[in-house]
Amino acid sequence: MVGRRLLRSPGVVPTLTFVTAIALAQVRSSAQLARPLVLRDARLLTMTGPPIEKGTLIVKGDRIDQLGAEVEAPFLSRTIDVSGKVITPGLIDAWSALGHSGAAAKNEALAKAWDAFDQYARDDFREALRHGVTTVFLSPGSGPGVTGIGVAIHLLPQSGGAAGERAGEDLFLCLNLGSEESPIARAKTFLEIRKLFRKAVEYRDALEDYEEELKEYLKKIEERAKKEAGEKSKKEGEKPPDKVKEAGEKKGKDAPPKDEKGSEHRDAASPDGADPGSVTSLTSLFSAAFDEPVAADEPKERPREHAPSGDDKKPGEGKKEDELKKPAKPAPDRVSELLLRAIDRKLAVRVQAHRSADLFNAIELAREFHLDFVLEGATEGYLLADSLADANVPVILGPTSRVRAVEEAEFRRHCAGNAEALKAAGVDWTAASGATDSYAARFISINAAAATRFEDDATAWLRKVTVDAARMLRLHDQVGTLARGKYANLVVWSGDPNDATSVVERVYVGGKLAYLAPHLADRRGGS
Amino acid sequence: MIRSRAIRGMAAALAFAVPAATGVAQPPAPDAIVAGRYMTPEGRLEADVAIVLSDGKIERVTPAAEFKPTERTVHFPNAVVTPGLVDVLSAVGALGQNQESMSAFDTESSVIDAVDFRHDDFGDALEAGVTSVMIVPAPVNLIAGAAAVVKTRRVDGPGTLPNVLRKEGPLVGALGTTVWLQDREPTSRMGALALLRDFLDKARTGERAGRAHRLATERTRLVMYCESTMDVDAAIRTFGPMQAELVVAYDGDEHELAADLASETFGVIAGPFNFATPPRTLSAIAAYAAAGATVALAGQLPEAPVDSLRVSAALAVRYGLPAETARLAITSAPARLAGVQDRVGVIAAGLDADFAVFSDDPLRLQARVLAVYIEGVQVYSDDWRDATISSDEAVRCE
Repeated sequence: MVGRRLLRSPGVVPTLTFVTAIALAQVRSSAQLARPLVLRDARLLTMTGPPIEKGTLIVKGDRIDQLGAEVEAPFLSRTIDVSGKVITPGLIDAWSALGHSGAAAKNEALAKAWDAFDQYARDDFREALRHGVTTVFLSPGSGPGVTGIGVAIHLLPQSGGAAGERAGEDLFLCLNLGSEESPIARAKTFLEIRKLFRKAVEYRDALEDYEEELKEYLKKIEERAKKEAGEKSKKEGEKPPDKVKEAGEKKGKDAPPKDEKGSEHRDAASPDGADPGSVTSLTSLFSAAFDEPVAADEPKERPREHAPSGDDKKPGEGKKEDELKKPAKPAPDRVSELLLRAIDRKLAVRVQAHRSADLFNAIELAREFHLDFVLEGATEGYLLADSLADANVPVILGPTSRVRAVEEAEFRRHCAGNAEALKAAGVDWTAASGATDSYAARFISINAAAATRFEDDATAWLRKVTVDAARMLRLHDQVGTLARGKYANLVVWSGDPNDATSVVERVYVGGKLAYLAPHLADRRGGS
Repeated sequence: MIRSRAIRGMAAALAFAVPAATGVAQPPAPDAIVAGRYMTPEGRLEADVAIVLSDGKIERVTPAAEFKPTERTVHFPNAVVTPGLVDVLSAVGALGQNQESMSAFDTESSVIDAVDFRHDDFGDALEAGVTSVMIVPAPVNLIAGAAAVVKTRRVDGPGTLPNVLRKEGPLVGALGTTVWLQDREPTSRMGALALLRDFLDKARTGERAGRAHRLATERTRLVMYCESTMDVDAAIRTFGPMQAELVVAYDGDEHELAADLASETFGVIAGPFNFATPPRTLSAIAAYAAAGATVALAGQLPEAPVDSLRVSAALAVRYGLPAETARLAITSAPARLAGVQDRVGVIAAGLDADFAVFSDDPLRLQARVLAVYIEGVQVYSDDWRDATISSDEAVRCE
């Protein structure tokens, strides 16, 4: 009886259907039901320790389940003999333009790079995959300023030939201090960015003040209500104010903390045009209390100024009740809210900067607001390597090969020894394609090899584009190494990936086969 | 110590950090180089050889076991010794000075007149292991003049002749939009071909003398920049029936022409390539080579990054060019197309002792240049940097 009544109540049936569908989808894709994938007898370059010779790697669902030399293939698994091959983690382009369908002409702090990702750039994805690239990071904009929210994308095959899955939400707040503009214009860019951050801090102060003052205000109203009710009951001997108070508290709890359409709300709540500041009766007093008058746009217009201090009374507002003027809530400011996440270190910050002056500015900004930040570019990093080391900031370098003579001013002091100088100073660094071109992502291994030319270890480049890149993208829990529980982004090479003639034979993204070399595909098709 | 190594890394003052200039003792010219691996004339890497030198030339190449080293013998046990690299489309020392756009035909001009042998760009080339360059006129004329082939070693005194391999190299011409100008003929492809035919007719009859006449009547090497497939096609149709040895400089992607390029031309120059080069363009090189064309890769120094020869080769390998062919494409093939194959491009008896010593296979970009020799004399060393670079010199990075 109760059940039937429940089913009849609106919204329950769709909810149940939805929950069932979700549950079924979960079961269908669950690791337990998919056949485990077993890659047998390969050399595993785990990036966590020495290579495992003749190792076996087992993937369940989208994760690496087990790996090692002595691993048993589970029941009903799909086994692929990859003896003589080499398996590495998928390569990561930590600063990419792969599938980026064009930066916005104007920066928009709330822009998300994911929205500009073309999931159907199939040719570009194929090229990237065929060279072992499985994960890319896209910055949203290109011009100077706060460019928006960056995204990391795994090239997971999707239906209809599309690819791409976000590796986590909102990975970085992206800033760009580099530009071809005059030194003054560039200094202005920096000051404007700093102003935005300071505004965010002020916005929070204003919100906190508002909360305080609102509390104060409610308390006073309550007191006055009690007082008035007391006077009334003295006169009439009835109607204690409890009922009104109760209603008030309830309404206070339900009142939305933020209201984007504050001004409409305000208009609607005072239809009679009564000034919420001039209290005429208990009812209008309460309706005024829970209506939310909003300050225009300027968070600078502190609620304090509207506070019932009584000092700033305008002429003609000489009534005693004016002391209870409702504090104005600062207008919601989503850009400030975004920057506050960065200031609270809940969102890491990526700063693109090339020239030394811009790099110093980046360090200054990070210091002032205690940002958790990563530098992108740092073309002149070698000139201030010690300062970068002091700031403890990791650096993602762009292309190693550039021509000083014909480059634009941003790169005129490009130096092939940049990475070596950074390393010597103790700066954590990696090399990426530098978002120069969608196709450039495919050659991050060659670029990283050139960048690590000063290293004695010939496989230093591989660390740069796997484990190091993952760490800088804050994705080290997910990818970058071959380890239990990691997202199964794997590259099977025909031989030593150091060897110029080795080719990528298979690429798995999230355990799904994303690329199969043509010679293997032909063979498979023929048999 | 680590610090100095870092600065060393950033300094590109290498070519100028020669021992003579900085007080480091110049090593005596070695009598032999014993290499962990060396590059054979076929482009393979073979282990443990001794390259015996005499008078700036290679006397012979012999298994290391059969060679008795002396105190003048230099050992590179873990390194790869290759011929000095050759960039076949370069403007080193002449950038900005190699362009004469007033006339559609500049047949009699010679780029050697524009070369500044003391230019810094030679040092950058040397640092990248490039010991010979063919300097070409800019492709703004149908016939732009004669190229020059020179070595990249530093010139101290007044003489420059020791560096010149060929004062008058192949003729260089171009088809395509770079030739069409608004203020002189030709202004279109149609006009360009009409002018070219007229030029060759007059050259044949002797109405145009000198190089033009020789081009039309004798066996002359001509490097044509071709911007598009149509230009390649036009070049083959125009020059194919003549005695000229046509070299097509081309980085397009029409695999369909590979067979024609192989059978009707003397060779193909492709590149330079970079990370943005489209896949079809990269895989075309393998197609040209498979069709039998002599393929050389261009570094285009100094307009491309210093290691663009190696980058181009590595990228071509990623798109199917055999590693051996890729190694030849930056050494012996360009030497052959530049007409200096008797002097450089191969490690073989009788050729100049020009070498680049890499820490690994040069197709691996992590390999660094350890040393460079020109005519048996060491002209660059990785180690000299430590001794010679001060922090002031690091500013050269700027």
